[in-house]
Amino acid sequence: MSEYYIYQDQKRCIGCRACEVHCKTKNDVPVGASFCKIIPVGPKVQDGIPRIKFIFMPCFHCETPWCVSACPTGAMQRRTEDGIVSVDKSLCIGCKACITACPWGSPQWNKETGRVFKCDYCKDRIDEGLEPACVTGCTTAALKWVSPSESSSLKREKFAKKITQGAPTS
Amino acid sequence: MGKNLLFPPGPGADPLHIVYEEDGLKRESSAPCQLNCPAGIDIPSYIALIGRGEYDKAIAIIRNDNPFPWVCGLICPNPCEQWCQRRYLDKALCIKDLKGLAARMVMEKGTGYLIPEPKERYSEKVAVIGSGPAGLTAAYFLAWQGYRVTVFEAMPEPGGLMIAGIPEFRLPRDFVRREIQAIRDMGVEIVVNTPIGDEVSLDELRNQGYKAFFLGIGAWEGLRLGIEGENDYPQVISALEFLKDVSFGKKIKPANSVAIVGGGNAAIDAARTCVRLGSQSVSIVYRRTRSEMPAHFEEIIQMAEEGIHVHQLTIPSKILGSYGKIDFLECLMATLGEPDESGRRRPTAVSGSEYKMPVGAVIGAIGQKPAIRRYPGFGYLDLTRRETIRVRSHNQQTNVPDVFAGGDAVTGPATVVEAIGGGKRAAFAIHAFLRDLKMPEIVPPRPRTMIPPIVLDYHKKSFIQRQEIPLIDLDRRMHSFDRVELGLDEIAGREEAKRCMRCDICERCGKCVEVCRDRLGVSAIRFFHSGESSLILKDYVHGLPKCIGCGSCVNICPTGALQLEDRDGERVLLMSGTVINRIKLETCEGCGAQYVTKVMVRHVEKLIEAPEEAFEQKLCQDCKRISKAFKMVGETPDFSVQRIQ
Repeated sequence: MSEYYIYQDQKRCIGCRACEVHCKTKNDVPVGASFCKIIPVGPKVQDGIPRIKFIFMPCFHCETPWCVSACPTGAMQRRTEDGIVSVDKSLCIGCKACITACPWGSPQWNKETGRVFKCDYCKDRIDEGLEPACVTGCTTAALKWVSPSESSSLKREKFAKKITQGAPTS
Repeated sequence: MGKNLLFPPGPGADPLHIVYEEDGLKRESSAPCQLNCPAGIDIPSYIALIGRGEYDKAIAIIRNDNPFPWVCGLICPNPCEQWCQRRYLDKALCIKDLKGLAARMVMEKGTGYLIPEPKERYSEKVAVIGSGPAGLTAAYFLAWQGYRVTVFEAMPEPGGLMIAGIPEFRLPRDFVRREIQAIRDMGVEIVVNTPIGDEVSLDELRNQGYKAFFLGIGAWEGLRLGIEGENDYPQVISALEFLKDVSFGKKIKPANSVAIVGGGNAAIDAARTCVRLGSQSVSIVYRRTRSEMPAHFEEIIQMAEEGIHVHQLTIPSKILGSYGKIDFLECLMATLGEPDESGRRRPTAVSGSEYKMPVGAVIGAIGQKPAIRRYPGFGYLDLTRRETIRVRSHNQQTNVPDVFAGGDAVTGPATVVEAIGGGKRAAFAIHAFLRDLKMPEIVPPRPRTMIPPIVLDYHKKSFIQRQEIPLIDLDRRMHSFDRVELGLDEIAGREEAKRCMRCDICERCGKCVEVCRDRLGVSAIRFFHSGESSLILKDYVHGLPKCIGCGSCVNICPTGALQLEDRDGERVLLMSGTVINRIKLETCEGCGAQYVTKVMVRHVEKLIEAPEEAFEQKLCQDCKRISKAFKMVGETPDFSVQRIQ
């Protein structure tokens, strides 16, 4: 896990996909590919009321990313200072090994350039001190950009608890 | 770029590498056969059309550059075949015979040649002097441009060497006449029995309103042997005179025993004609060895089959005779010394090795030169050391601005296809001259069109052998002037066309090899050096056993020669229309899409050393996301309803 984390408050998310739109606009992603995706789970009837959950699926920037180990050319790189995994366009040859390797389906195929691209947490914005486009664009403030100073291990545990509490019990 | 829909370059390709013109075709042909054709014919395109059975279109493509497909299909020395890349796999294609097949199919079974309409109509008259292949080609292209062309021919029939030189058993006259008729049909006027330069001079033609001239007068004057006794006997004749007489009906054998001096095509044609006329003993006297003979390889073979003996390393020194008749040709033995400026080893006579060869006639075939001196009207033309007309090589213009020249008169004795090339260049130069345009520069030939290749699997393609050209019976060959080489039939021609490797699509730049070997580390696609500077994919026989089907080569390919298609559970890798690999695809357990090759999954598994269960479920990237999202909230993934884009 990188030093950053996008926390999604599922109670607040209404599935408007503004995060996807902002991501696409900012990163200039063509039709077909998407760096982050809202996956709706449900609707399911819970206590007589239909409920739907929207799961935000960006790249999670793994600690030991398989995409990086699979890349034959070293185009897929993990930034040492903060652990952001991104693609060096000039090195990518479009072999799609990372796409096959990633269990989360994060690396995306760019048909126009014949190369892979993926979520890099908008690292240019982060370097400027801003938040990623999806977080900035979130209409209900469901997405939160958690930087190292705020996120302690305790906090992460709390997020995990919240996720499990949100899961249907019955 | 991007307008060539048939072969779109890969997305990762460098657009500056290969230049496309506005019509979507390459600016410069990449096929070695086309680049080495003196007439610049788009060979890969017409071969592909022959393979599809579209002979009309094939002929139309050939006739863009060459008005004599049938003649060239029979007698072209095919420099293209010497450059055919297929010969590094097994043998070159029968390019010449394919052309002949297309011409025959159109002329005999089809509707005949399509007569092109002039692009414009101009009032200027152009005179072409000499109706050989060079002159008629110039006339053809000038008439196509829209000029009024008159061809003046000294002999009773137009065609030059095609009618009066090359023997009938190689080039049946009927074929030549029909191709000349096609040029006449374009409105070209051919005046026979009218030598220019002697009584009628160019100035007289200028007064008659001709604005430009093309001299295609050929090289008809045989070089003298320069030996004692040469001028004393009437039985010493020059090969071209002899062939001309035979062509115009004077079919009399020179003697029972004939010696032909020289090793070129004219010598062999003369020798084979002597055999057919009934000479008992025909021998060729050549001062070097058989392997240095400038004649075509096939002709040397066929000549040997017909019983013509070659006296190698023999220099004639004297002609001896009595009562006005030749009795002997005295010869010297020779050895080969250092190579001379032509690259062939220079023969040196061995003194004291004289011997006498009993012969009744001697035919000199040691070369020809244009008979310029015979025509005082051309006296002001600049000549070279070899007494050929000096021209600027890219536009065939002589030192007189309105006079252009081409063919043997410029090159010395050469081939029909070189004459056609010269005539074509001159025609475009004359057009530029008359219209005050910039004179054409030397430009490499361009592809005329882009024909989809015939899709075949690698093993099928590599195992088709070069077709044998059937010859008529040897006995018949020795006693008649029937055509020796029968050419390809339709079925053999279609098979032969399938062998073409389509070098016009793949440029053999080696980028795919670089990406696969150096960057991917797979080394599946491999090119080998062939010849000096070219590369060839040699894995036609085996396919690509190491290929993982990732498609990086397709991405980088700048010409679109490499293509990837997923069909019927297989990923098919095509190179210039040849299927070079088929790899089984994995099916996504979520959506059922076939998303990646099975070998690719194994390849990646090995690279990342992941636990085995990680790849147990085969999911495409979209389904992986859905599956993970459901698992995060503890649900079983439901792939059916989640495909909202």
